Amino acid sequence: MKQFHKGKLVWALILSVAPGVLSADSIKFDFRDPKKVNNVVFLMDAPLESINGTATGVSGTVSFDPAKPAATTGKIVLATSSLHVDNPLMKKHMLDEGWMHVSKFPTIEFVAGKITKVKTSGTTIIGTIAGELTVKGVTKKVSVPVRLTYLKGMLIKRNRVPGDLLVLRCDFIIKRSDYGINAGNNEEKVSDEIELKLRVAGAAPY
Amino acid sequence: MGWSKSTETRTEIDEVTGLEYPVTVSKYVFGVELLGAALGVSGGLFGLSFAFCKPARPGNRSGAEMSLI
Repeated sequence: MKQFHKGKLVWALILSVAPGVLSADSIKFDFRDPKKVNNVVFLMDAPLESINGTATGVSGTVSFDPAKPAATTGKIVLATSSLHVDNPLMKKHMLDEGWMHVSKFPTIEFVAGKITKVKTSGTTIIGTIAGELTVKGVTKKVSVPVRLTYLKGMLIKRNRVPGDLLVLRCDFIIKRSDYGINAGNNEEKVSDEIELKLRVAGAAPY
Repeated sequence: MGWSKSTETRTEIDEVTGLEYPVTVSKYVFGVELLGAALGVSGGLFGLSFAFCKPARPGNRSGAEMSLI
């Protein structure tokens, strides 16, 4: 009976410690940014009009292991209500039902699976990140180029808290027709292709 | 020149990460639609001014015109 209890105790210890051991080298970076430095720039170049705007409502977490950057996983979330263009009427239309329908689809999400074609140079890692992008409730698999910069111990310079920073830069193009964003309409003024530039930094305090 | 803007967005660089980020400030910038509207209104007023123009009659000639005859 005593032997049985000992065995149980050992297993309980192994199970409670194992997750920590397995992910010991993986650092979790938080991409919430009250300073609104984290941003997404969107560009649309139609024959009659060129539109560019920004969004700063970025959040999410990324698990990154400096020794195994290919195993990077995570999720970046963008609040749709933070999409901004300088023209007030254009902004109203963009957020309305006909286009982004913010009240029904409050977030745009990118879930990162893994990084392939990894090339490391100093603190910078270049690769192709495969994941799933959800816009207006439509989820599609995407594979996009990414540049990660791991800044060890640099969080103190930014937030006055000891820790690491992970900078993520990602440029890619999506089609609004793929995600049901007023597909097929007004293409002479609002192009089907949307160029996205993701510029975000995550913090991992010690 | 583009459409009117109620804000102006400029780009700044974060010193630590080197990230470019947008800074939006409230500023009204006049656009082409207001220029078009102003030209339309001024054109309309110019056209309307002809409606109130008194036609020149021989009996109503000014002193200068009379002196030339």
